Amino acid sequence: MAKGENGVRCFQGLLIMGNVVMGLCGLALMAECIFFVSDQHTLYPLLEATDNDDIYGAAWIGIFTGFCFFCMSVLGIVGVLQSNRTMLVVYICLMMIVFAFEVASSITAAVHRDFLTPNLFLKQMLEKYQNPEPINNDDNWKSAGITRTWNRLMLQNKCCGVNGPADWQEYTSVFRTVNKDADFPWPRQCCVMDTLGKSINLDGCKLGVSGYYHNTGCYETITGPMNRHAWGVAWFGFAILCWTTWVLLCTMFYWSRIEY
Amino acid sequence: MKDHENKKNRTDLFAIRVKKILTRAEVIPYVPRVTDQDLEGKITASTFALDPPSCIFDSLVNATDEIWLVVTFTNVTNSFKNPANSQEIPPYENLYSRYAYMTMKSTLSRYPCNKDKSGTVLRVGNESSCKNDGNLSPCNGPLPSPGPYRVKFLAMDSDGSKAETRWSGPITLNKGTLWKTVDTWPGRRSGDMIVITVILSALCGVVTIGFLSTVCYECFKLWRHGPPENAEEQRQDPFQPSRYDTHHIPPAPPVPPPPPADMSGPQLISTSS
Repeated sequence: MAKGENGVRCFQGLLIMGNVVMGLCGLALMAECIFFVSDQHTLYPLLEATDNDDIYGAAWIGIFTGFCFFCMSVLGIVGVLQSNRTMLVVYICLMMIVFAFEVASSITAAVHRDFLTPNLFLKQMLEKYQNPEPINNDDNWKSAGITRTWNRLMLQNKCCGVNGPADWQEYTSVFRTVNKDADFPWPRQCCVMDTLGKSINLDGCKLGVSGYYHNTGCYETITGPMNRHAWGVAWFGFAILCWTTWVLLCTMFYWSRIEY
Repeated sequence: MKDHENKKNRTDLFAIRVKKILTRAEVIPYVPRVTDQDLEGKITASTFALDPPSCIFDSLVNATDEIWLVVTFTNVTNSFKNPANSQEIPPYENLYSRYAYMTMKSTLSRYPCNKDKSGTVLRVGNESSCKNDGNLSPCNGPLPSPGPYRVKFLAMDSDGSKAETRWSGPITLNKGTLWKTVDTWPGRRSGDMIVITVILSALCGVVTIGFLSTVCYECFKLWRHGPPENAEEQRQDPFQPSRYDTHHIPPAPPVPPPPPADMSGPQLISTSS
């Protein structure tokens, strides 16, 4: 009986450790997801306009599940310490629900990371940038967001278009129809500006003389942070789930061994 | 004798005049071309940038003569006739009706003979909004379609064309791909996504199976032991390890009955028998 008692204590300790780690990881996941949805680089309008902002959805789920993992770990620890069957049944059931949510979050983030292709941003840039006559309010909102975001991106990050200034030339676009090609082969934001915000050589910029225009694309600037964050949400969630799996299985085992 | 001489003189004059009218402008073996400088916007949807004809006309043209650029669609290049005088010079508007016009009026001094050509190009179509307001400056308006176009430089004096270059090769402008045709499908999935999806699905399965087997085990225990009527008596010792009963070995005879608290013995017998 003494050995059995020791074994039980060891098992309890293991479960408690598992729950502590899970709870802390849950808090970290929540923090990470909050950082992601706070959109430090103000890139959300670009995703919003593609009708494909599920990465943000994944992060919101991540906030929820992170917090739940923390609460659940507290419940689990108390339940294990008291060996309370009811408490542990509640713990197991709720944990399975949270587990399912976190699986959804992780898979969503991983899947939608693949969708962040240059063409995705290219198409909506061509379609919505400087769109003068949006078809409805929603489109108006998105077009304004796209225009604002692109203007800021190209100016601050010294880049032009998604792959480069040639994007504005190689494709037809709303920008192309709104502006005269000879004056605006690409937006003014692609020109190298002086401190007063004027192009240092407008003709050079229009001709594409190197040094007077930004010849790199903005794709890296856009997808860099998004990819990193989505990667974090997906893989950190994955790691937590792997850890949670054995904690959950062991808790089930423990629960089934508690006598009435 | 004198008469004869006079007559000869007149024929000479006549011959010269005929020659002057009939001969076309002298063709210089120079082919205008789109600049080979590394310029991102040397060909756009309505403009193209040419190398200036530096050092081309120097031997043939006076400083006062005008040098023009003739722009035509390729299909009317052969039928284009050099204007005989400055009134016949086709303006920009002619591009829409007769598919040819002349622009970029300048003089020899604009094309100096220095070796350092970098940095100067002639951008055809540069004036995005221009009207032919008198003859002050010929319009260099945007080209309406991708073309293709051919161009040549033509030097003129008051008597008409004097010298010209050869026609350039066809110059085709950018014709943008329709943005609607941009394909946003990501194509192949990344390894990350496959790994995460597969393993997480498997983990889901594992957890579900674990839960189901636990539930089954509980049901099995209930079925074996009967409903836990005596739960309250057992509460003080929750860590009692469960007993393993094997079917083929009959359960041990009950321990002597004494304290009425332990009810599990008799109950076991009653359910298994």
